[in-house]
Amino acid sequence: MAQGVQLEEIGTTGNPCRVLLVEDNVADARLTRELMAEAGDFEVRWASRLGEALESLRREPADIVLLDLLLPDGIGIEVIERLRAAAPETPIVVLSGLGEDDLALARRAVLRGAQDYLPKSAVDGNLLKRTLSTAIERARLENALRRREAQLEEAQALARMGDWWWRPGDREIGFSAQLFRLIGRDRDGFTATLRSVLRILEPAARTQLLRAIRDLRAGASSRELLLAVRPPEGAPRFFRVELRRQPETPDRPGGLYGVCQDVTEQRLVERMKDEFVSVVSHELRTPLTALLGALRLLRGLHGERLDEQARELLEVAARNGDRLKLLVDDLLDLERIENGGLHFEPQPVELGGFLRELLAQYDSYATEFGIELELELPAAELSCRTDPGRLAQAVGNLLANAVKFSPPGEKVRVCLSVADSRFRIAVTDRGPGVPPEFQPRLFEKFAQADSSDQRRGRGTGLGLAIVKAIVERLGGSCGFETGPGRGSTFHIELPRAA
Amino acid sequence: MLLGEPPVLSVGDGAEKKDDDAARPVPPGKVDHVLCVEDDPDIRALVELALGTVGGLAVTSCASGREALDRVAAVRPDVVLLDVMMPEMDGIETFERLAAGSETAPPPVIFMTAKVQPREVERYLSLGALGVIAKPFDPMTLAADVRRLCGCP
Repeated sequence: MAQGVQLEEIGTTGNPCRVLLVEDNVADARLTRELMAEAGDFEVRWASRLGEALESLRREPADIVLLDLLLPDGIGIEVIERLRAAAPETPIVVLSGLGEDDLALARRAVLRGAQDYLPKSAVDGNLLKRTLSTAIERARLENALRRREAQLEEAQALARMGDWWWRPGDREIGFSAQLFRLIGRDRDGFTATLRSVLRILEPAARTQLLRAIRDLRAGASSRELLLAVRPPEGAPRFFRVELRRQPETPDRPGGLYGVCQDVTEQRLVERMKDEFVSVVSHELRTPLTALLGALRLLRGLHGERLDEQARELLEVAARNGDRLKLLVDDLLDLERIENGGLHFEPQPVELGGFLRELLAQYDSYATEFGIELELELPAAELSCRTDPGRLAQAVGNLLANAVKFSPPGEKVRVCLSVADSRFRIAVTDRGPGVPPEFQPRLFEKFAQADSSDQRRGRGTGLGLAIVKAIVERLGGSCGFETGPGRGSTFHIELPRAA
Repeated sequence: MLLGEPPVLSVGDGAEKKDDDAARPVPPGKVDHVLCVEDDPDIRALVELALGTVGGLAVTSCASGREALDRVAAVRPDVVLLDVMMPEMDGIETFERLAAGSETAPPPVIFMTAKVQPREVERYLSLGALGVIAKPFDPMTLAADVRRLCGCP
């Protein structure tokens, strides 16, 4: 097939080009074959009728077909179509007469799928060779393009996505086939003018779209919208619509283009997830409330009367009930922070006082582990606008980890500093350090260096993921430095002017 | 969070910036009798133990907002401990009907709920609740928490 033949190599020795010559005039056929023999290494086979040519192509493919359009068993465009049907990717060059009608027919043939035409009597070897070469190359590019287009359409169908383009001065907006399908309209029954597009949008979406177009025309480079589209019947469907401006160049007018994606199902799933989280929250907490309450009452009211083994078992149950509660709280928190369901309320916070108060809260927890908490503050007061409750949760998680991983008798140091445009809160422990293989996953959900951590540390495996989610929502960043045996320092950086 | 936020939030906590003092309820100053409205029977039993056996208070329990509305006039509690998420009539609606349906001053209400996002707490307080107790609660300290929210010495 044509793919193997390179443009400059066609007809050279050692790389013969297989030509099927379809010509009913014996003298013309002989002349053409002579020309080809002169021009280079062509393997020419000859068919005098269309039926013969089709049969020949079935038996063995050709690199190119050289074709007279006036055959005893087929005339004109019909010949092109039948050849195309038999060998859709094989290039065709039409051999034509010099008369006006002949040339007009040849040009029409090119529009209908032939790659080029040659006026018979004006042909010499070089022209023939060059024409065949470019025809083969052109067919190769056309075939590749056709395949990519088919793939693009399949990909768009799979992604429930379509694309559109709007050239300046055009009344109609170009829609890809898939886009017509997504909006439930027929290409023949729906003319995609701006007016008709607006008509199938919900009223709020109309305003959004018009504003975006105005912004783009005023110089904005892109916009992204969520538009509610009315299908011919049923509930509105939701489309994520991306609009981009094509910058104008001297050889190309500007215009707008972009993609649309039907996100109705995703939205539905998101809503169901929110409801699910809310229900799970309630359904998990209700039995937990009863369970933990009963255990505490049992301990409080009857603990004295239980023997040591029973008290120990009671502690096991209470401790694990607490762990379950923490896990539920953390999971719900993380879900809400990541999905924007959690409301952040920034207010001025004096960081020194904030940290002093936080450390006091964690003092008894640290004492339980035999750890002393130490705070290092700069001389000047540092204030920033942030959500104190959420920041306390983030720093608290770092503190809890530091306490948990330090050997008894050590100190955990919290240090507030300022560098450039950022405040930095660093928590340093004297623990074993973070193993290198574990470092890349440290801020991921349920990432714990080994499963024994869980028992030892009362952790849920969500602490650092929550820290990261909160700090990012607060416009800051977090990170750590660690070395084996040297302990670790985890830090949170917040923008100074938030 | 490991240590958690304080489980008891009184009117003062987090609501100091609000200036609508008119809606602010007056703590009764004494608690002898609590009306508990809670749809989960196990949690009702726990509250009765926590307030009665541990805390020495009189407790009347109702399984729904509807039942609470029917009985509140006869029970005449010093304070109502009200669950938020209940089927049919939720805690918010019960609260509003308690306030609207009462000829004399309605009893102060403490919400007891797992829904204690800062925004949610702010909403309960702005409605005029005396305070909020987070679930899971500690039954060994529940009576003391209720007394504190009621302004008992």
